[in-house]
Amino acid sequence: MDRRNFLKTTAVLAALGAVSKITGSLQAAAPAKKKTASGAPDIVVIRNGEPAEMFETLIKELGGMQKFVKPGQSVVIKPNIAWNQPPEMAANTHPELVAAVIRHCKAAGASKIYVFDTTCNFWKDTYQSSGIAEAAEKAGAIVVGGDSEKDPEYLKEYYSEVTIPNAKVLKKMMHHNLIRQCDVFINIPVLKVHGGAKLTCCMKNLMGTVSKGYQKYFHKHGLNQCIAECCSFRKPDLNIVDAYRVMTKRGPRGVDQSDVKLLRYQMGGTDMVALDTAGAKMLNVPLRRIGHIAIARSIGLGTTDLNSLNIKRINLNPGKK
Amino acid sequence: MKTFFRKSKWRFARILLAAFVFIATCCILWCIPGTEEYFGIQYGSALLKLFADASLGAAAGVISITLVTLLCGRIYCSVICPLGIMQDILLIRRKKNSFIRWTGKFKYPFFLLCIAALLAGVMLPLTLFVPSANFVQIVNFVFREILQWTGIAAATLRPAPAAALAAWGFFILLIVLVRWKGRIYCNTLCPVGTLLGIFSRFSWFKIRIKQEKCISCGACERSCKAGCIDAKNKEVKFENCVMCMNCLDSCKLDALHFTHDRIKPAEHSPGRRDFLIGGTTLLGAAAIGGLGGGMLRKSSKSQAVMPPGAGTYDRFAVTCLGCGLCISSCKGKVLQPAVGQYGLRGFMQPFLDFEKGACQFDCKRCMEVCPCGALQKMTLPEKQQHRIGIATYHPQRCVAYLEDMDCGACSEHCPVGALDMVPYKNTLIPKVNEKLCIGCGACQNICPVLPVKAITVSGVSPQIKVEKPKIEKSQKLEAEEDFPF
Repeated sequence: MDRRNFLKTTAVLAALGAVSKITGSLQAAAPAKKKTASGAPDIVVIRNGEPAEMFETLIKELGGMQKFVKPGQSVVIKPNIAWNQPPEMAANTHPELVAAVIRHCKAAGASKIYVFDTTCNFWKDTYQSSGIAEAAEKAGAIVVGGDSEKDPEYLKEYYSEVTIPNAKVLKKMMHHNLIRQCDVFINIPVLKVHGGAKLTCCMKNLMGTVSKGYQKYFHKHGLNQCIAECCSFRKPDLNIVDAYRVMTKRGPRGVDQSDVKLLRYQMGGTDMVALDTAGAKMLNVPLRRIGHIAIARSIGLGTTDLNSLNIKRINLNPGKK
Repeated sequence: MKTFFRKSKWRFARILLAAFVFIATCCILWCIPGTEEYFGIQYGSALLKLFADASLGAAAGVISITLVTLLCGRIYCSVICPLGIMQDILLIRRKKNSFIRWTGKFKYPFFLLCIAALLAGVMLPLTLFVPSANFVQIVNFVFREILQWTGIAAATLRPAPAAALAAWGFFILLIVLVRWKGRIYCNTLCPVGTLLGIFSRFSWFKIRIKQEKCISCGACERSCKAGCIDAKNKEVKFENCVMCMNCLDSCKLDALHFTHDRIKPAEHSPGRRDFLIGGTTLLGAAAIGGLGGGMLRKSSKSQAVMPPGAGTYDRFAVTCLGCGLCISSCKGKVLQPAVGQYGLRGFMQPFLDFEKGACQFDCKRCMEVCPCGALQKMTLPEKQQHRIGIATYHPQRCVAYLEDMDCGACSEHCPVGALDMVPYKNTLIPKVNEKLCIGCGACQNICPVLPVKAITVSGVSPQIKVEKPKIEKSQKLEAEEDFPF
């Protein structure tokens, strides 16, 4: 590039910047959702589709799975499989979405794909009733059991104590070995309300990488601080939020069908904090109530300012409401 | 040669059948989950079940075993009773036996003591001496423990030391008794053995001695592990015979026969007088014991949680045999043998220890396996509305209340939504909805506060049906209309 061209480009870019800044400030009064995305989006939101179908669009918009998974790499997928509840209760991630993610990882050339969660009810029950074990095995992943506090052998074999740098409260935790051994870490939470943490989304889901005993430590020593510090240890390379069905009350376990709403949404991106903020908006939970989001932002895990992000919104069936 | 074969096939068949039954029983307890219902056919528990719920299955079990005994003696003791077969295994390579004269003096008084205690509302003697219950206790608390030392299996049950000690004590007592006097347990302490012995007095087929052929050599007496053959007087005390058939082989003169022919008219049985004497003394003793039984009863302070289907404390006390089948099949690993939780009379009966686990919402295994009808069966939806206890919140211990921190672990794990999170300072604290709580203990189990939990569950008696959680309308979300951001 010669000097003239350089100057030209700079001038054009500066002008563009100025214009976008002006329009940006003009738009500040208008709802942020009117803003249309150009370039690579930070967050992609899809609605009105089936879980697998929405994921096809979502991953295409995020640049394809090959952007995250290189041939020969090992992948750990962390869905929410915490509760002994059927898929209709939306207490766990939708099995079809888990299967779709696995298929894409396989197509991208992943060597090994593991699926696991540290569950609240016994893992053998939750893996089965959630439908995830079956769907994941069919799609070609290795399903790994999780600690449910009744299986000391398992805990000894698969979890090790790690130190979290710069942590104030959660200085150490028993962490699942696979998370540290894998090349790519994909987080697939289900969106729901939560009695303690107020919201279960990307960050709360990562609590499932920690042993059951340390989950109690979280609750005892400040749930929100611990969640944020736990998330700072190993950030997922990709987060996909399942909001196909969402639990709007009596979460995270749910009692009956009235707790669940069929919302048909899916979100994806790399910024956990931004996705959690979006999730809070979706469930209409006031952001100030969710402690771990604010702490995560303050320790630099991501942003809560959705307006500063490039959000791509796609309605797969605009005819439907 | 032909005679030899004809006789020994009885013994051979007995050993074969017993080996099969024993292996199957061990597998049922240990490694084939979902088959523990088998223990329902054991005589002692079936009889109790008949009284507890008058079910058809229990009646069938009791009647068939009684009929078999009336037909040909205590076959049950050698081929069905797992504790009997285990004693036979412990007897291997032990040869000498002798006639035991004094068993009759002790067995009926002891049997009546057990019955009188039960009538007075104390199950304890039966808990300690009914063989099928003992067998389960030994497997659960002794054999499993040994397996764990060897590293073959992981530890699964960790009972209170007193309960484990009782099982170990019984096991060691059994070994000592067996090596000392053979099947003396079955003829003195075992209530089932004593009861079946009464029936077997009237058996059609019996082991009988042909007086003219017998020379009182004593070979049969030495081979009899139940100590029921008096070679000197050429008598078989058939009520003590466990039908091992060893004697048939031992007689070189073909003087012993398993037959319905009455070779010699029945004499006055000394057992009957003992029975009557013992009976009167003991019923008197029981009446006094019943009055003093209050000492054994549960103190009103203790509010141990009974397994679902137990009904009331009083009903449970006299129906539960304390075998521990529910304990080893409990999915939530919450059932534990009681030591003092139900008072002394409820020793070994199961209670829910929420420090060890919580009652799993979609499991009703304990009710299914209960062999003696102490836990009344119900459907899963019924069980999910069946209150076994009630939670109490202690804010003075709660991290959310004290330190103004978000926690909510209890509410999170509640399967019926009985813990509402209500605002307090900057956070939320749980509030027990007493209409919904079923006392499963998920909240107490998960509460992070130590050593005493900030939410505890105490038992209710009687257990009752609670309301179904109300179906509330949820708020409308902006996201249902359009992208909310």
